[in-house]
Order: sequence, then C-alpha cells, then structure tokens
Amino acid sequence: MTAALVLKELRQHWLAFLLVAGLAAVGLMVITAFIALEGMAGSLLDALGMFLRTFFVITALVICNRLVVVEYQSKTQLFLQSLPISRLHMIVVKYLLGLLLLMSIVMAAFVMLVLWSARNEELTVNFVLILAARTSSYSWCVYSGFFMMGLLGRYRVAIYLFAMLGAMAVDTLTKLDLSRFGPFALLDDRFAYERFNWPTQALYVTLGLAAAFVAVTFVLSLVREGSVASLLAEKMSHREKVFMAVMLLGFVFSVTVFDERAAKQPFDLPGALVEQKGDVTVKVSLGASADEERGRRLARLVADEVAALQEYLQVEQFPPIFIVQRRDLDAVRYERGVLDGAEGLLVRANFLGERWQDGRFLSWLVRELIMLASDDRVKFEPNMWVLDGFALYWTCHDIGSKHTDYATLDLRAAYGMQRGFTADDAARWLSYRERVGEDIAAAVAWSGLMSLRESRGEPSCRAFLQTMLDCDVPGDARGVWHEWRNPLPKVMARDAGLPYDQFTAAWSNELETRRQSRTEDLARIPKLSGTIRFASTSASTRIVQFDIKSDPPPASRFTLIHVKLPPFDDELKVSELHREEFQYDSEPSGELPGSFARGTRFGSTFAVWVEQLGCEIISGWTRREMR
Amino acid sequence: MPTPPTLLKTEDLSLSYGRVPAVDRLNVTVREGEIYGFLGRNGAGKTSTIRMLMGLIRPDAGKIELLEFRGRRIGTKQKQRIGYVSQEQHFYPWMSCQGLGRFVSGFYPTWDSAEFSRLLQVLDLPPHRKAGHLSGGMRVKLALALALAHRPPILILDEPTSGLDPVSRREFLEIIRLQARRNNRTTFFSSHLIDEVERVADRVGMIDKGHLCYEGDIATLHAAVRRVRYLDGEVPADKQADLAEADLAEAQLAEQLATRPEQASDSRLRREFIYKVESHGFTVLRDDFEDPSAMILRGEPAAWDDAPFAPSATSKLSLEDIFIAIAGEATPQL
Repeated sequence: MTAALVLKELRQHWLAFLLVAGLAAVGLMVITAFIALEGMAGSLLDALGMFLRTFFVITALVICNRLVVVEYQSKTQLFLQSLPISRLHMIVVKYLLGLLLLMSIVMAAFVMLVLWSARNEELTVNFVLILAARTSSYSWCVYSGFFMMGLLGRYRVAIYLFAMLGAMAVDTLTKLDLSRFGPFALLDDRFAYERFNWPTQALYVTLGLAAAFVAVTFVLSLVREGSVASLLAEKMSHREKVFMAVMLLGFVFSVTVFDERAAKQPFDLPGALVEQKGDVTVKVSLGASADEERGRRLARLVADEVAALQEYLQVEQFPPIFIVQRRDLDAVRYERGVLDGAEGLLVRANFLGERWQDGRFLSWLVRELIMLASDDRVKFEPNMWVLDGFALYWTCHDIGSKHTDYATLDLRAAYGMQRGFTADDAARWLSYRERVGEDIAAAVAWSGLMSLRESRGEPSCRAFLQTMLDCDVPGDARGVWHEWRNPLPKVMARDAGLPYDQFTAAWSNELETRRQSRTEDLARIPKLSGTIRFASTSASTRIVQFDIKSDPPPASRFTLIHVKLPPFDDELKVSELHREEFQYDSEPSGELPGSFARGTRFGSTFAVWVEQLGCEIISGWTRREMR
Repeated sequence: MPTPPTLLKTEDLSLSYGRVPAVDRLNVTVREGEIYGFLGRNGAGKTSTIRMLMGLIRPDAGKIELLEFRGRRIGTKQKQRIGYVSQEQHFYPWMSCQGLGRFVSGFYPTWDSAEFSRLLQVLDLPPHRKAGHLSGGMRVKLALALALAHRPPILILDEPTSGLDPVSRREFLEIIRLQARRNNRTTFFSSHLIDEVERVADRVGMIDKGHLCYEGDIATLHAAVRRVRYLDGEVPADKQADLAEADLAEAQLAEQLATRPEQASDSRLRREFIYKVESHGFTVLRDDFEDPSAMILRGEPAAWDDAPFAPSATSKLSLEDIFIAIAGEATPQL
C-alpha cells in the first residue's frame, strides 16, 4: 500500500518536484558563487544559511502544496479513503515522503557546502554537528509548518498574508526582535561561525514548534473522520472572500496607522555635551551658557544613574536623554519636551539655577524615563503609587545621602498622613495626588516602598519593582494583558512574599509612626485652604475671585494654580497649568486677571512653598463649571 | 431450500451528527449470494450506513458482522474483501483507466489484472483514456470494474446510478444483476429509485429517518401490503362503546360546522373499517391518495387469508406505492 501511494505521488508530482529541485540547485549555486566570487560573506557556509532562508522556503512551500493542497482541493483524498488504507497511513506517507524529498535537497546542499568549506577553513566535528542541528531543525520546522498550512485549505493564503503582515508589523512597531525567535534564531549571524556553543534555546523552541505543527497536522487530517480538512479545502464562498478582504484591508490600515505613530526619527542636540555609559546616552545642551563643567557633571551624573537604573530594573534599553539648559525656568521645576516622531526624552531644566537640586531632578527624571520607556503602561492608576514612590526610592536608596534629605522626605510622608491616607487612596492614586500634591504623594508612596523593603528585604522589593515597572512590556493590548495577568496584590504576594492587605496595614502604621514622631514639625506647616467664586461680568463672561486662608500664614507668596479642564475628567497635564502668584496679606483675597467664558470647566488649587518640606503644599484641586 | 448463510449483518448500528440522529439502531441482514436493495428517501441514512459498513466513519453504537469480522469499525483487512462503488467518483483525472487499475491493485492482495482488463473490455471502457475525460456513465462503470477486479465476496454500491441517464442506468443494473448471478456475489446496493431495486433486488431493506421499516423479499412485501376499499362489516363488541361515543362527537361537530350529512356517513364507515381491520391484525399504513374510499393495509399472510372483507375489495400495489406508504409523508395540503 505504501509503495503504491508513494509511486502515485511520484507519478503525479514528478515534474513539479524536479523543477523545484532544479530551482533549489540553481539558487544554491548562485548564492554560493556570489559568496565565493564577490566575497559577500566571511564563510562559504553562509551560503547555506541564505539558501535556507530563500530557495529552501520556496521548495518546501511547493512540495507541501503539491502533496496536500492538490489532493484535498481535487477531493481525490475521498477516493483514497475508499481504498483499503487508513487516513493515518495516508497522511503519514505523504508527510514522510515530502520530508524525505526536502531533506535530500537540504542534505545535498549541506554536504556540498561543508566539503567545499573544508578546503578553506578548519571544520571541527562539533561545529559541523551544530551546523547540522541548526539546518535540520529549521528545515523540519518550516516543512511541518507548510504541511500543516496545506491542510488549512482555503484559509491558508489569507493566513500566510496575515502572518507576513503581522511579522512586518511586529518588526517595525514593537521591540520584539523576531530574528531572535526559534527557527529564525537558528539562521542568525552566527550560523556559519558559531563553533562551540549550541543554540540550545533556539533548538528547543524550533523542535517544539515543529512538533506542534505535526500534532496540528494530524489533528486536522484525522479529526471528525477527516471531514475538517475536507471542508477546509472547499472553495471560499463569496461572503468569506469579502470578509477576508475586509479583514486584510483593516489589518493593513491598522498597521499603517500604528506605523505612522511608531515611526521615529533619531533626535539629536547639535553641539551638546555627550556622556555615554553602556548603551545609555545623555546629551546636555548648555545653550548660551559657558559653564561646561556643570553641564558635563550633570551629564555624567544622569548617565551613571540611568545605567544603574537599567541594571536594577533589568530594562533592555532606555531611550536617549537630552537635557537643555533654560535660564527662564525655576530651578526646582522641569519641563518635558515633546518629540514628535523622534525617539528620546527631551528635558528642559535650569540646572545652573541657585535652587537646583540633583536629587529632586533625578527623581523627576526617573519617573519620566520609566513612563516613556513603558509607553505609559506604568501609569495604570491602581499601580501608579509604585512609580511615584520608586522615583524617590531610587534616588535615595543607596546613594541617598548624596541626593536626598531623608528628614525632609520623612516629614513629607508624615504630612501626607496628616492630610489623610488610607489603602483606598493607593488604589485611587490620581485623586490622592490632586488632594495633597505630587511631592507629598510621592513621599507617601516612597514610605510604602521603604516599608516593603524593611519587612521583606531589598531583593524581594527589587523583584516586585522589576515586575511592576517592567519597561519591556509594550503599552498596547499586550500591556493590558500584562496588567490583567499581574495585578498588584498578586505581584506583591508572588515577588515580595507579602499579602497586599498586610502590606497596606504596615504602610499605614509606618506613616502614622512618622506623623506622631514629627508632630511639632507638622504644627509649623501652614494649613492651607481657600475658596473660589465665579463672578459674572456679563451674561457670558465670568471672572475668578478667591479667598485664601493659611494658619500660620505662609512665609512666602502663595500661588493659585489653575487650568481650563477638558470636557472629560483626566489626569491634569503639568504643561497646561497656569500659575499666578499673590502676596499673602491681611486680607487674603483676590481675583485672577482675565475673564472666562460661562460654562468653562475650571480646575484650581492654592499652593505655597514650604521650606521645611522642600516642596509646595496645595489646598487640594477642585474642578467646577462656571455657571 | 435452505436459507443461505449471512454475510453481512448489523446489530443496533447507530450514528448521529451532533444532535441529529442519522442511523438509529439499524439491524440489516444480507445473505450470501443475494442482491440486497437498500431503499430510502434522500437523507434517510443510506449513505451514512454504507460509510459505516465501509469503515469510513465510526458508528456511535452497534456492531457490524462481515464475513469473519465482528466489531464496531471495519478495518483495512476487511476493506480488502469488499468491492465498493461510491456515490461520486473522485478519480485522479490524470490517470488512465489502466493506470487507475495499476494504482488500485497495490491495495488489494487478491487483485486480478486479467480480470480487470476483461472487465474494461466487457464494460466498453477505453483502457488508455484518462479518467478526467470519461463521461458520468463510464466513470461509474470504471468504479465497478475497480470494485470487481479483486474478486470481492461482497459488493457495496452507494446509489451508483444517481446522475446516470435511463439507458446507462438500465445497462449498469443489468451488469450488476448478471455479475451477481454468475459469480454468486453478494451485492448490497442503496437507491431511492424503486424501479431499479425492484428490477434487480432479491430482498429489500427500507430505511426511513434512520430506522429500518421493512426487511424481506419483495414478493412477501407485495403480499403483505395491499389497497383495500371500505366494506361493511361487523364491529367487535368491545369497540362498540368507543364507536358510539365517536359517532356522537362527530354528529355534534357536524351540526356545529353544518357539514354535509354524507360526509359524516363517510367518516363513520372509515372508522368502522379501521376498527374492523385492526381487530383482524392489520396495520393501517395510510389512506389511499387516489381512491378516497380506500386504505393501504399491512398484514401477515394469515391475516389476509382471514380478512373481514371480500378478496375482490383488495388490489396489489406497486413497490413504489408500498415504499411511499411505508416511508412517505402525508400528501401536503395545497
């Protein structure tokens, strides 16, 4: 029976097999000739890799198409099934025959090139074995994949198209490097040169993939008495064709849209000071200033910190950092520039200002850098306190004395507790930030991480942070999947070995301890409150009037920070905030310059700089519509 | 004459596609040397039964006995002893008739090349013509030649003549009949065409909605199922009360609906007749479509001998009428 079936296949497909074998031979000779004569590569064995990537794929595709698709599309498998031969026998014979033919071609190419190369380079047994393992595993995997696809009948072309477009999309839109995956990794740049190390991981993945393809092949061909493969081989209906076309167009459109968004040109600061550490790049532009020393010091500091951060969080790569000196900025406030279509973190800061603080800047920079590298995935509100806390935690946890004043941080955290903090606030972090201000909220979050480190130790805390702040997880659907699979309580229990409710209880206790130990200091911090009124100047215009109260009165001027809110509540954007400073006098009330249209949604808070805290405190953001 | 041994038998063979039952506890018995016509409407379960008999699909339940085999599913070895002609022939179009013979010969240890060549000649098939260039009739004949060339003890044909013109069909049936008679070859063939079954089959099995409605020889079937006109007769004592009650109800209904008095009289005669024949062991299959005062009854030979109506009131039916009476639906009201 086997012989009859094999003879039938050979009689049916001999011409196609012969042509494709001839094409493969010609292709191999052309590739080899180019390499040998033009010196395209360092080793003749590179020709084998190129052959496997190109002509071999065509050969495998044609052979599988002839053996599977032709049989099922012409329904002649039904004739075979009526003969005394089992479906399993039939499919095994076809599979092995195709594999044998293909492997014959591959092995001929392999032997030819190995023998040829042996004349010019020394080939060890281990090297040849590695090469053979790479070649045979890849060949088996590709062949099995095409054989399986043949059984998918009318959907196979659509799946090929989707797979190709998907691979291109993955390659261009994500950081995922397909060339490092399974069968592709076997044919990487080391294919013709790696003489000692076996590509174990890639081999396992490839062989596993091939086995999976074979399993699916047999399931498709045998399940439900072979009717699945028969039905799949039917021609597409008009409705299916339209559906596939729409899907394909939609896919291409989506990829194009994402591609436009993801296409980033390299950004550069001409004439900037450059500091490189590992693959971390920091460029500092001094602008009109001539204080190169301070600029170089800052660049070195940032490069050191970011390189250490990269190692700490096990991040593959951070984007380059560009710092631009801006004399008009307050030295304790920083701006993040917008890089349309360019990659990198652009920062504007007045690092030559008198109030400049390295620690403060670094904690801000770390937060921005992680947000950028993770496509803002880490800003998921229930987890956001980890990001805010980590920015401070990082700048002080082992070089703290250099950059951060623990006592000040401690007082900020105590103040945050005084303003009220519960476990629910951690889950609604944006609301809490708007209530106490960013700096105070960050200190509260920092105290949470300190509490975790003290109870579970630094390695556990680090494992927890690595998962929560994983910058290699993209911010798209995969990020959503990652968040769904790794909710904060689960990660804390798994990586830090601490149940979340125990953690929040310990965190609250620690904050309360801090608050009680700093009662006297806290009494000196102004208690800030205020009211906003909208007075009408006409039917359609309003002005903003306010009253402010501070006990004790602030040592400096106070600020009314305000913003026109968009139609829907969202996180306040720092770049859109307006600040108006006022003198706090005996009648602390006033009016904002300018007028607003009736119906404007107005967000505001009063803020005052408190020296003991080293930051601003706020009365708390309010959002109201002007009636 | 002794009954020939059984060659093929199914025991409670069942198959369903999802929740739809295709074959339900089917019990057929095919004896050696006979031509067994497997009759059924489209979708009655004929092809599913044959696919199970050929081992192409596994029954959900039941057993198949074929020659020495007894089990749920026919294997390769048993298939080598069956000649099979499927409903549609999916030959390799690039193979010639002779090439197909060469290819198929590899699957049957008992293949007889000389017999195949003879069959090609007898069936008037050009040996070198490619299968893709054969007409529908020729393809069926080629399938028959391929099925017979390994000299199987049993031939299974799944509606082989569907799609053939009347001449080709008649020719094909004649070949089937002759080869069965000459070689004493058991033949099991399915069809929904009554006349072709009647022409060649010794025994028939009638399947409807997966159930076997009748199995036996055609003459017995003709004797068992006849058309009978209503005649007066005595109603048994135990049915009198029922009849009186039914009469009263009918009269009331007739009064309400102002139906014609003669209609009530017809109905009474009909009911009386049903009571009468049922008490004599008959089964009323249905009213006759053509004669409103006639019914089609089924009864054992003894029941017909002792029938409560005159022999002149009965008339024989064609196999088609019998088939429709057994397997047909009621005539749709247009």
